[in-house]
Amino acid sequence: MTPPAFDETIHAPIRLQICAMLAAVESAEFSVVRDSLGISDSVLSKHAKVLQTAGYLHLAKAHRTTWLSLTAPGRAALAGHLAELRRIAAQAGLQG
Amino acid sequence: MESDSARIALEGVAEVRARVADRIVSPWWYHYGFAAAILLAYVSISFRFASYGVPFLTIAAVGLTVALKRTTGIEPRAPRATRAVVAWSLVALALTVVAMALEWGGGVKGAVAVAGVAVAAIAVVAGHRTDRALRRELRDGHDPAGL
Repeated sequence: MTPPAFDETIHAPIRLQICAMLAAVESAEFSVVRDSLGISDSVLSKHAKVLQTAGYLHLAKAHRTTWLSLTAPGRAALAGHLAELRRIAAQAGLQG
Repeated sequence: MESDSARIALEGVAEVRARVADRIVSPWWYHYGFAAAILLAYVSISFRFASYGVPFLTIAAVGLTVALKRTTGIEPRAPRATRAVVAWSLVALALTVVAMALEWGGGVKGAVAVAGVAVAAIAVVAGHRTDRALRRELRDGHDPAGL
């Protein structure tokens, strides 16, 4: 099990949604991610660039389309971040 | 970070997974196209045209898979559903081996063609069941990071 670890790069709401979507698949086409999350091309490009720079996202161009996928470090970082979110949420449940 | 924010973020993650699951619907032509290719290949093998049937099935399978990926814009990842595909494939393989033994070992003409009908039916039924398992796995997944 991945140890909880808060990740600043992933935590931004749109980036967390991008990662959550890509974690559920091997890869997804740029327009599918954009439409599924209801964001614009430029917003997706901007956040994809941040994730790519962090080494969490892989972009592959094929036949005039761009495919996005999470890298192994990206999956590990997301798993750690989600574990941390669950820990925080569970802690509040214990206190309440 | 506050617990409410963490809970909202986790709910957002579950919502995204559900949205992805809703998108994973194979078009009608995929399973039936695959079944038709299987049937044609088995019939051609049964009538001693294996040199046409096997390459045809290979090209059809690759072509349909590429077309599916382009149509849905998603390359799925679901270990449990993949295991189900492997299990169904083993059943189809066993059926094929028995049919080949009957036709070429036991002289039962058309056994491979009949097996083709059964394997094509398996492809349709297993395809739809795998689609459903895939969606269920995505919705109910306890590990959204897929690790």
